[in-house]
Order: sequence, then C-alpha cells, then structure tokens
Amino acid sequence: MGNYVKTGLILMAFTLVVGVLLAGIYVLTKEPIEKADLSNQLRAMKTVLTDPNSGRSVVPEQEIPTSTAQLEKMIWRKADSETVFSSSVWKGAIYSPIYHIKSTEGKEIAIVSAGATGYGGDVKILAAFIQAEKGFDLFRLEVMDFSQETPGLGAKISEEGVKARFFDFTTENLERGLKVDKDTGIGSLSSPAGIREAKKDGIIYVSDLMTGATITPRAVANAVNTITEYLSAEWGEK
Amino acid sequence: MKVFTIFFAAILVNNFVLQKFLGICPFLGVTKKIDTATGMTMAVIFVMILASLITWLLNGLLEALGIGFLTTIAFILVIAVLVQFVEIFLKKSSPALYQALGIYLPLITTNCAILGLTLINVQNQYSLLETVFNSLGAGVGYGMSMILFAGIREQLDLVEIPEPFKGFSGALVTAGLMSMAFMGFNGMIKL
Amino acid sequence: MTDKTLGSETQKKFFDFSILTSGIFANNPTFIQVIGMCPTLATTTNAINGLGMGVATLFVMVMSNLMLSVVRKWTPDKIRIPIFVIIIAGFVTIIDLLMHAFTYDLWKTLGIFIPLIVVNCIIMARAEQFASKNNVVDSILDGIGNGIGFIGALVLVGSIRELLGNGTIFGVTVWGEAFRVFLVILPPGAFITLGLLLALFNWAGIERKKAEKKRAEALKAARAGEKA
Repeated sequence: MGNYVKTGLILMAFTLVVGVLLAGIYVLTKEPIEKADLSNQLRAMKTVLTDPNSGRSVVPEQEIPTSTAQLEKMIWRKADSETVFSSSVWKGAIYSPIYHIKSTEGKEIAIVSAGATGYGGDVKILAAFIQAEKGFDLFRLEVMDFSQETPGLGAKISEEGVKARFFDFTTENLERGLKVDKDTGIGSLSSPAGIREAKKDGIIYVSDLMTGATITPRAVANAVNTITEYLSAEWGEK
Repeated sequence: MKVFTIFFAAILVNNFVLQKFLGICPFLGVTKKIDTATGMTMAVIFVMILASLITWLLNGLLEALGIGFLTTIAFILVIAVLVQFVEIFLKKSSPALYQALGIYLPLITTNCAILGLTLINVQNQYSLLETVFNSLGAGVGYGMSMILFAGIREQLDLVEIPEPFKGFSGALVTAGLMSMAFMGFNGMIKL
Repeated sequence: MTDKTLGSETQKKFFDFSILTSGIFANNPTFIQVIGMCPTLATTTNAINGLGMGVATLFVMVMSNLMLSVVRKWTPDKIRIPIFVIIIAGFVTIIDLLMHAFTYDLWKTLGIFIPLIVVNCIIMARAEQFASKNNVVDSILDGIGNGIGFIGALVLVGSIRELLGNGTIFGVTVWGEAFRVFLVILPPGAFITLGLLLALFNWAGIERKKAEKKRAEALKAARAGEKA
C-alpha cells in the first residue's frame, strides 16, 4: 500500500511541477498570442480591402482598422453563437461577427468571414463585398484557414495566383452561384478571353492549377455563395 | 445522415495511415505477420473509441474551465491510462491475447493515430455521435490498411527483392503504392 | 550507439561529442533507427515545413532529455512511461504556445502536427534508451544529435519533394514549372521518396560493409603472406 501511495505522490508531484511551468508560459504568451491572432486578422482585412492591381485601398487609409477597438466599431451583425447564418444549399456558414465599412466613394462594404466544407474540414475565407447599383460585387477574398486540406496540393489555394481567380465578380456573375470549371464540364479554358467569358457565368477557372484538389477551391466557391445567399436577403434591391 | 458519411470518409477518403500519415510506426513495425496486425487492430479500435469518448467529455470540461491549453497533456494522459487499464484487463480476462500482443500493447500509447484522432474530433467540433462514428471509421480504416499491408509484406518476404530494398525500404515503397490506390477514393465522399 | 560502459574505463570527457555525431549520422533516427515516421512523411511537402517541424522537435527533444536526465533518480520504474509522457507533453504544449505567439504562419502550416510531437517515437525512444540512464550533459548532447539528425532527414526529404514536385527549393525557384512530378507532393510520394532514400542509405551501408570485408581479407592475406 505504501508503495502505491509513494508512486502516486511522485506522479502527482511531476504533474504539479509541469503544470505550474505550463501555466507560467501560458500566462506569458497569452498577450503575444492575442496580438498574433489579431494582427493576422487585421492583415487579412487590409488585404481584402486593397485593389490587387493598383495596390490602393478602396477605403480611406485612416479607416483601415488597426486595433480591436476599431474592429468593434465596425461590427454590423453578430450572433450569440459562432455562426450568423448557415446555408443548407451550399453547406457553408457565415461566422460572427460581420463587419461593415464605407469605401472612399461612400459605398457600403461588407467584410464577411465564412467557411464551407473542404477536404478534411472547413475552408475559411474572409471576403469583401461592395454594394453596387443593383446588388453587390465580390471585390476580393483571402483564404484564412485551409489547414485540413491536402498539403502541397489543396494548400495551393493560398497562392496569390489561385486566389486571384476568385476576385472581382459582379452581382450578375454571382446570381446563380460560383462554380469551379470542373463542375461545369466546360472543358479547357486556356485563353484569357475564355476565362473572362466564363466569369460572366460565375465560372472560376482553376483546373490548371488545382487538379486533384478541386474540393478545396470548390469549398471557397461555396463559401462565397453562402455569403451571396445571405447578402441577397439582407441587401436585396437597393 | 452525416454520421455515415463521416464513417465511410474516415475509412476510405481520409484513411488515417495512407492519407493522413498517422500511426505509421506500428504500421511499419507490427505488420510483418497478419496475426499480429489483426490483434493490434482490435486493441487500437477499442482504445480509439474509448479514448474519443473520454476526451470528448474532457474537452468540454477543459474549455469550460478555460484551461484549453492543457488539452494535449490531458489527452495523452487519458490515452496512457486507458492503455494501462486495457493491459491489466486483458491480462486477467484473456491471457492468450495478452501474450500474443506482447509489447505492442503499451506501444499503443505512442500511436499518433489515437492522439491524432482525439485532436481531430475536437478540432472539427464533432458532436458525441459524430465522434463515435469518426473513431469507428478511423479504427476500421486503420485496421484495414494494416491487415492489407501485412498480407502484402508476408508475400514480399517470400520473394527475392534487391538487397537495399529489404526491410523498411521496400515496405515504404509498397505503402506508397497502397496510398496511391486509396487516392482513387478522393472526392468520392463530399462531407 | 555510444556504449556507456566504456565511459568509466576511458577518460570521461565532459563534452562527449561522439554522442552528438552518432545521433546525426551513425544512429540517425530516420534512416538508421527508422522511427519518427509520421512527421517525416507528413510535414515534408516542402523544405521550409520540414525545417520548421525539425526545429520544434529539436526543442522538445533537448528540453525533455534535459529534464528527464535531471529527475532520473526520482522516477520509479513502474510509472516511468507516464512521467515521460507528462514531461514531453508539457514541453510540446510550451512550444505550441510559443509558436502561436511568435511564428504564426509556420504555426498555422504545421497545424495538428505540433501537438503530435508528443507521440513522436524518437523522443520517447531517446528518453527510454538514453536520458533516463545518463547524465545531464550527455543527455543534452544526445538530444541535440538526434534532433539535428532528424532535421537533416526532414530537410532532405522536404527538399527532394519540393524540388521534384514544385520546381522550387526553400521557396526559391530552381526550374519552376518546367519539370514537375505532382505525385511527389501527395501522400504516395512521401512514402515512395522515403522508401527510395532508405534504399539508397541501405545500399551505401552494404557497399561500405563489402569494402570493409575486402580490406579485412586483404589484411589477413597480407599477414598470412608475411608469416610464410
């Protein structure tokens, strides 16, 4: 009996020492971690508000959020749970909170984080939608989380070249939902003119870069469509 | 029903060994004979399901207490204790199986597939039912690849292969071919 | 492996560098001991990921070897595995927190494989075979040696897979899109690359043994010739 007690005590002692050490590091790293998470979020926001071609922001410089306080003021919608909206059609969800901001031309911009099921889990994006005359345009998006996708293959979704295929869709393009070209059986679209034409129908050409990992860009398309579904109801006809 | 999709996906599309690279050490180490592979599989499935259930509950508790960073430690301790209990239980109830498994039983603790499974369940925020089906699928998929692999390796031992490829080298290349075969299941199931 | 019983006969060095080099070459964890496969296959889609994973593992290995060696006199044999586990898991959590705070992008990329360092067989094996039986300095050296050996293996496999699969190395374009074997980046590619590399090392070992055997026989023949 005494032996068991001794063993148990030693085990407990070890657990305590390691536990204390861990707690110490946890406390020390809590702030840097929050800062790192925040700076990642802010960086993504700044990116989706910047024109990929000109490099200029569509929002006045001083309006670009650089702190949690500013972010708080930008909240448009939020939910008690994690998701503001779930789409059963596209199998995606919009995460709380949704931010909004006004562009330099006075147009409403919604900055939405959403996700849809990819290969091993959800692929999460942050997208900027600008309100337009007859609806809204998808300006730009960033892929925030793709850690469950195929390494090296699905992970390509984070490359600028691939992401750019998702930028700049007007409200007419978005109407029937974005699709990756593989899902439409449209065949090869190698010319830039062909790609532009396809965009009008909401078709995204990614099969040259992401063969064998179509699930990942499809997830991004579905996430965008989830946002479109939500915004159609919220913003509707102006 | 989503649970069945999760189940089949875990077996085929997201096979733990051949696609997710979890549990390679025992995969290479215990598959010289089909019998040991089967025995190991049974033990692993058992521990996987129990561990998933317990860690699912534990995770809820840890999150509620705000000490989520202790997840890794807590989970691996649960697994280590579970394996210890399984060892004691088997010793008493089925000494034959206990002997057959030998040293592989305590080695289940360091099986990354089990810890990986519990972490994935938590990361994907599966409900209790989804957790059970994912674990079951993971276990079945793991076992399937192990037994298939053991079968192939038993055959390989009987054949003349070039000296440098004997042992683990040839085994790895074989595993690569198996992994390629399983890739055919990609996209079959859209979760 | 350094035979520790020799230490008491020969002059005991404070820094026994042979421990270090054996971990890197003669007893390389990946290519000779053939352990720690999971991260080797999973995180080597490119060289940088392999390097990042290797460095994180090195940290955990050195720290746990250190601590385990310090407390080795107080660890009862029956519960040594749970104690190893607690200490290793503790340091893994620490590196996870540190990476989340200070190397965010790498942390995101390595994802679930950081907590999985806990069950990296290499750390357990070194704890069991070395740190629990040797002094602190030697244990640290062993941790560093095996860690560097592991990093070497990871970077080697990662570079090959990145080069063949993406035409780049460490992100620097070598031949880019000109020649790409997609399969190499996918899971089968990992298995096959590692398998072929292992075959290469095996072959080198076999050739070396053959050469040694030839030399030994030549020596014997020469000696026999001298006697005659």
